Amino acid sequence: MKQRMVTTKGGGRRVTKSQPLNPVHKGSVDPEQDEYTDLVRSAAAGDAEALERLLMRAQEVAWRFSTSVCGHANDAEDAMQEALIKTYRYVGRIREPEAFRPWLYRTVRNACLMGRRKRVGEPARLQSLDDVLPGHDGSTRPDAPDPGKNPEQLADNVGLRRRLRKALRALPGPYRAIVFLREMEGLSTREVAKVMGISEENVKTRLHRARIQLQAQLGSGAK
Amino acid sequence: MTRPSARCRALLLEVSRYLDGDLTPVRRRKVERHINRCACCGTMAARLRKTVATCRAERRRRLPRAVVLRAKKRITTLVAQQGRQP
Repeated sequence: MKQRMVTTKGGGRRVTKSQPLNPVHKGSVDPEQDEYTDLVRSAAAGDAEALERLLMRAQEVAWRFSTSVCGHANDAEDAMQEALIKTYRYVGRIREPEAFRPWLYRTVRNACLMGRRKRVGEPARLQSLDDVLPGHDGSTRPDAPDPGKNPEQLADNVGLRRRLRKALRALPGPYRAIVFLREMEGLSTREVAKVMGISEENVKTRLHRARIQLQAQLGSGAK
Repeated sequence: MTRPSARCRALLLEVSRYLDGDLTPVRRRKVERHINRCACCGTMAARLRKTVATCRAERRRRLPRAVVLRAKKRITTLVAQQGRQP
């Protein structure tokens, strides 16, 4: 968290933490990560229910990754099978329960990439940033739709979800994977970097570029 | 359509970082000032916020029932094959 100096009423100065406008994934405590770690530990210790939940989680991640990033339902079943078997084996020789989540996503990503057929027409690179900027007066392209005030409202907006999926498909694969991992699965930048095998700075740069293209697609794309 | 200025193009990625609170206090203030004055970057910041919110609303999509049933069956089969009770 960044810090800044502010002047108090009495004229003194103190250091405060700056508040991000759109805070997410900040801080070191991640309940999801803790939950995975607990599940892995319990499963490794012989807890049958924990093992079953972990194996289900692995398949859920594989399905979501496969359908969101790879885009073909047929590939999803293969990825789920692969994730299931590898997770089962992983639990039997676990050393670092904390490393499970990035390991799972990396395994799923590899499974998806291995089984994935070459997609015709998939973009190899992002659009130029110049093409996705609004004009200098800020009002030339259609605005992105208002997604609503809470997740329930958003979930109901089927048209918007369809547009988002279409916009995601217009991203090159690695960018799509980063948006999925970071924004939709809630992994930290560090975890995404581990999954993708790139630096944290690279993750951030790609994420920001992908967001810019997505907003252009959501605003003016799928009609 | 008026073309965006060179400064707006240069600031584009920083606007996204700004929304994540990922700038130093000095850069953050500069970007904030620019966003408040520049229609182009102000529009971009608003759109990016909506885009991020739309993505995050897609979090943890539920699996279709048929897929869940197949997943459960796979677990049962695997555990039976390996001789380890789930």
